[in-house]
Amino acid sequence: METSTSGRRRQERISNGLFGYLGFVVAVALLLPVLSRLKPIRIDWLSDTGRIFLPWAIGLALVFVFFRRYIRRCCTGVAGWLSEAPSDRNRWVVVGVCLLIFTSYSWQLHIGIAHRGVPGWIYAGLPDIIKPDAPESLSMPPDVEPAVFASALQPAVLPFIHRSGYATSEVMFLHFKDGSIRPGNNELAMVSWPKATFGVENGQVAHEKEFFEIIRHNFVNRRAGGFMIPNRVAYPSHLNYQRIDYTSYPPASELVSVSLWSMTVRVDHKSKQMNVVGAAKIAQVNG
Amino acid sequence: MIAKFFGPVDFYGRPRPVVALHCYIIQAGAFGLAAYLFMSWDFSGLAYMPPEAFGREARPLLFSYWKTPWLYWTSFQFIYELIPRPSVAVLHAFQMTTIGALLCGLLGIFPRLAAWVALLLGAHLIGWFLLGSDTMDASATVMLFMLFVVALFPNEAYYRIGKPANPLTLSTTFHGPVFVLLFFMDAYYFYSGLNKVIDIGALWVIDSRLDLFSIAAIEKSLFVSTWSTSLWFSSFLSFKALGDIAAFLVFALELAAPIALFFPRLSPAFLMFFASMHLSIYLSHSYGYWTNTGADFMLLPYTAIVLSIGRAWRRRRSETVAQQPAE
Repeated sequence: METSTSGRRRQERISNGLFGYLGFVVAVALLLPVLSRLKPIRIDWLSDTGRIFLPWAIGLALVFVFFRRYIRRCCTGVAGWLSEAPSDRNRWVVVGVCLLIFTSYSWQLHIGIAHRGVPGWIYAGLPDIIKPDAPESLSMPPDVEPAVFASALQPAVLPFIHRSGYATSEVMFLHFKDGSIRPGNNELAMVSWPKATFGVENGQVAHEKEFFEIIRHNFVNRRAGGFMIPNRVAYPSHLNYQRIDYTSYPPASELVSVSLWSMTVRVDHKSKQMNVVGAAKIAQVNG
Repeated sequence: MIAKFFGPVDFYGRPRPVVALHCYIIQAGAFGLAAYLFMSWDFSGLAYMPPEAFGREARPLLFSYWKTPWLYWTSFQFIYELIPRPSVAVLHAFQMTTIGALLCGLLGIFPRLAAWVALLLGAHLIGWFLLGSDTMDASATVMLFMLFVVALFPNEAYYRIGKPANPLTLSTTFHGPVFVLLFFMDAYYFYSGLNKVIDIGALWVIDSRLDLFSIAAIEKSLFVSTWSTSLWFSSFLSFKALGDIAAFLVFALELAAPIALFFPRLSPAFLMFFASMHLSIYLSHSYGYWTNTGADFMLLPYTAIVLSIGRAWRRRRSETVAQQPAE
């Protein structure tokens, strides 16, 4: 009799604990966007982006309020299952992990083993890459062969292009001791936005040494054909740059500098041809 | 009619007997996929990243409320406020230890310890990568969660060297890890659908414009410095109608993902749709979500498959016995 009474008490305590925890999560989820919106009180560790989550947080709170009886019943059911075998660690693991997943989304926490999911990216309004008009003030540097710039292009793409015009992109070149200049890309720098990480501004890279060293370090692997698994069958990098075959490049010890350029090509989709019509140096880093 | 198509409502959270084989598949899959990733990427170069790269404000849509992502704390990046940042050799040693632990787990050598070591060191390296590169990699998150699930397995759920394996043992003990992984994957897909509504609105399908993305992806490919894409797949998706259909399917099925928890008969169809979605993302964006795809395959109803194979085998055997002439 005592055992069943203590069992019931335990179940009630667990049920109240679960319900209380869910209520706490919902309350904090509501508080976070409200705090983000309070202009007079600036909270250092909260970003402004949290504001857009207010409707979602209100919706979550309303669901909790309107369905509180159903939620309470679920909590009682789960508490009953946990109380059947209080020493069964695996049941607590299941419930704990489910609560962790719920909490990480409600508070938008990226904790490594869980995060908010994929953001709602959209591409409406994406600017055209090939534009009908040429950019202003196009010029070519006199000290670099046009063929060097052409080596950073992929003519194999031309059959898939359906309009003519001008396309501009940033390109990276690797300079070697033998005077050769060959194309590379930011996969070597392990960044999606090099300007943000290495501070490229006004022709200067704020962290020149680090930028050069990280490129040289990764170039060694790439030139060797891969890290431990060959590049062609390796797990695709999340920094999903185009794969450049570096195997025929000079060794990393001969790398002397890295340059970043803004390059413009004119594309004629009918004749399936393109020509480099402009190149301006953004920055150069010497080793 | 609806019940006939969808099957009976049966919440998968309700404990039920599961074959040990299912946990073995999750153990081998989690360790194998994680080893594949860690043997493909070299994390040691991150030691050259400037320290400021790890302390800057995060990109808004990736981490929403928080200026500093919680990853900074949970993957122990904060310790470098107290101790010097490690050298290339130290990061390389971390990575080699992680790979060693993963291979041990794959071979069934101290699998729980292997999962914890790989999880702690692996999360630390992934934290370096995500913060330093200012990116958010969902496949790394799923991989770490799978290791977390394996680290928390019930004792009997592991295959181990030196312990006889009983893959066909049926027990409710094995249900927990399978349910938790299914819950996680469903939540991940559902949240991704919900984010589309929260970040953009219910008309995300109209604004998504995968056709414009595909055209831009092809045109950017003129330069070797840009993101990679499959040219034929992107030209296929550059038709507006096809792009809209793909966007609608993704949006609708992501929001409907929790259904898989309640209709066991539908669950494999959902999982295979999402596995093919990851394949199409690889072709269009070059993001290899192979850990997510692997998790989808790990969650197929192996217990039902094993039981139906067993039933068919018994039926055939009894038929063979019945057809044997009496001596």
